[in-house]
Amino acid sequence: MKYLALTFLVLTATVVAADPVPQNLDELWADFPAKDKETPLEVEILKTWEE
Amino acid sequence: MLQLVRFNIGKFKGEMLKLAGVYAVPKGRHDRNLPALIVCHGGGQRASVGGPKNWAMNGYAAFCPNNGAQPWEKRFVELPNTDYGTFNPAIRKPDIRHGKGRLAPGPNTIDDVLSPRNEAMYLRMFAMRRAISFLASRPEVDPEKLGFRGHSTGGVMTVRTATDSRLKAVVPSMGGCGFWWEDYPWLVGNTRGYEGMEDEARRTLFKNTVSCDANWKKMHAPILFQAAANDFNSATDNIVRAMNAMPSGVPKRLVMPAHYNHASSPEAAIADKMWFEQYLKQTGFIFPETPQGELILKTKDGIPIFRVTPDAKSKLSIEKVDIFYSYGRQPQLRFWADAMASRVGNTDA
Repeated sequence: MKYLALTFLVLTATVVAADPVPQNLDELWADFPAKDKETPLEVEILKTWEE
Repeated sequence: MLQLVRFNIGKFKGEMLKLAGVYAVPKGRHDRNLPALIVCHGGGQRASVGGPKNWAMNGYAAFCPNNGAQPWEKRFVELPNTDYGTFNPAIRKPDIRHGKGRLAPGPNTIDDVLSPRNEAMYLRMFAMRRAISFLASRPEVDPEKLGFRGHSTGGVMTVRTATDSRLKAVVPSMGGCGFWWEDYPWLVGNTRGYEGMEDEARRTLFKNTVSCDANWKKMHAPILFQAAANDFNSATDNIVRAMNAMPSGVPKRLVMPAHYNHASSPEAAIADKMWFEQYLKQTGFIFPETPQGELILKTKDGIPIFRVTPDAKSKLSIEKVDIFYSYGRQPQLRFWADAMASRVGNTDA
């Protein structure tokens, strides 16, 4: 019983950890605003010039 | 002022990916008041200086992303470039998932199962959304006046990014029509075959997620499609399907000179500037409504008549009206004959 419960816990953790596969356009981009917010752009200016 | 810039796309499987490109700003001092554009190059090209510079000369902040990670031109070759890490987002690189389809897992894909995030362009689409974030973050840019314009593969990127709610106007040019999976009613066998996508479930997942088809159904921003009547990359008939799939009420126009393939006439090419004048710069310019057309097949002499009624409310004068017709079923091979339009009352027929 103890091993069964442990197996169940491991399986649950695996399922929760994996990103669900998006099935439509809304789902595909649903997490973008959060990812966009949590990832700084850290803009590098590599070169500046006029022409 | 011109800058070569680079910023974070995001972290995928522990790798921080980078997008580089050319950023141009009009001369002078600007305080969060500039309209801004992403101008996206085609599939075989790289980020150019001329594109964003031209838009800056017209009063826009403009960013041209090197979204295919092509090598820099000679003068920038020592500088860091776009970096997609171990992933493979370039459409021209060999796909080592031979025969398994666009969404299949592979050694350089994001997901280990069948997923739209494995499609070759997904990371580029993600990067384009980050490019919007870049523009919105610039102190000289008005984040309420953002647009997107791209040609060829850049047109595909435009359509596939157009559902981002931050965009207020978009112009795909000769790319991104989608609907390549459906035969024309009058010409069967013309669908584009995608290796490994014969399976209905795979095709449905693609069509519902990353495809241009899915994006057309969710358009919210005013859209101008710059087409060419014989274009290989955006068949006229598919553009009509795409625009008919849009939600009602979203402004849309199509400009499409006859005889051209993947290029435009000067009078059609200027349309993108006028579209952004109306929806981003908001200078007061109003794009004319699509002319009303009427095809009359039953006539006394048996010669069909096509009657065109231009937008009577438009303040723009009409220099001339040309009417072309073709019998060709294959959009790319149509020969366009001049119907020699004549003016009848207030209409041309």
